[in-house]
Amino acid sequence: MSVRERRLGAFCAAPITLFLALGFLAPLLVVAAFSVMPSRVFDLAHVPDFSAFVEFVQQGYWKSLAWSIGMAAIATLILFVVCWPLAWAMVHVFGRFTQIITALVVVTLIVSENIRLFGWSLTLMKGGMIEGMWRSWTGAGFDGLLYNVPVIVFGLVYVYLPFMLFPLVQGIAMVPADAPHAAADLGATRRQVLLEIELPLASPGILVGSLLSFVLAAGAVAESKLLGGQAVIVISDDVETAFTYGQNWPLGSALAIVLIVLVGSLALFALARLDLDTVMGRAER
Amino acid sequence: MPVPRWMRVLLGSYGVVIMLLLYLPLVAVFFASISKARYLSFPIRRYSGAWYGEALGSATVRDLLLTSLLVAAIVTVVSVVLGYFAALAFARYRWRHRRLFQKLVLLPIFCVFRRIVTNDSDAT
Repeated sequence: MSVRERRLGAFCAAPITLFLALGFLAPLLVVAAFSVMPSRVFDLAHVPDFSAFVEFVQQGYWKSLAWSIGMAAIATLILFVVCWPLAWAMVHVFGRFTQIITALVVVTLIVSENIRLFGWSLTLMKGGMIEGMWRSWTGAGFDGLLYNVPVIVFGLVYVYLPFMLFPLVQGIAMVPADAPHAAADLGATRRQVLLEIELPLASPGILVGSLLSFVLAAGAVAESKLLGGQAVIVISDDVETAFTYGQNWPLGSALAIVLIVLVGSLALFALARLDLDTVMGRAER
Repeated sequence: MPVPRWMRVLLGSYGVVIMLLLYLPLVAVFFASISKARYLSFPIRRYSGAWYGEALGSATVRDLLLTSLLVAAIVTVVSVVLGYFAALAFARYRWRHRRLFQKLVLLPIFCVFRRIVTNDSDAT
């Protein structure tokens, strides 16, 4: 690596590094500083105490955190099970139809998350597309399907499907075509090929997909608001309330910091054993 | 390993079902938009395009749309420039902090942070 190449590399990386330092790191530090301020102050010129974290434990905000983390974990698991066969088929079965499926999935991303979730609201509510049609065909109605925990998990699965699907496709495509063949020739069953060849070799894709889905779902708020009603309060909801109606920035910051530390350490842990070059299918030279 | 026919059919139907589910809520929104009734209830009895006329004719909606488009245009230009050079640094050059750089750039993607850090209500 020449001096010129090194300089150019650092030079090209400078704008985004500066941008992230100002737009990502700086606000993060401000939030961290606010989280140790006394309750309901609006500047940082106070003696730090940890009252906001005490409040987190005593006022039961940890329950919202537990709901967020729990629902995100379940949604991630479901997403993996739902997306694996589709991703596998996109690599091995669909041929040119894979491009059509890719396009169809990407196009849904153009429509904002809120509108798609609102569409599910219209579909699942009492008098909505499903219940209304059912009633007009059979004469017997039922309660709407909204406002419970399973429908929130369903919403998470729906919204974050692309974030699991595409990394999985990438991961499965990384499995050398010879490996399953060789295993099958040596007498491995389909189950053994899946468990001992394909899953381990596709693990970078699985890791990225799971991490993305989990982290996004853990911070999600629209699903529980639009589909879940007040069935459960998620942590992002609490953060938003603390910052807006509550006018208690230190509390909001503390809640945010707890979530960030939890999810951030998970992300760092996973990122540490992941190399972008491997995911992009390029070996480090 | 050849994929047996029944499995191809099964996976194909599975793909179709997922795609249909992906678009179902948008179908609901579309039907809601052409329903005449103010309070929506399926099955829709009378259709009308009046809501579109109202939306297109409204000065407020036009203003909001223009603002959105303007913001989107600015964001696109800035992102392309920043992203282009970041990608260049990652893809073309081998330099000292390259590995650290790729991880740092990935970090904000995990954007539980994003919503909280910027405290913006529209990121939902």
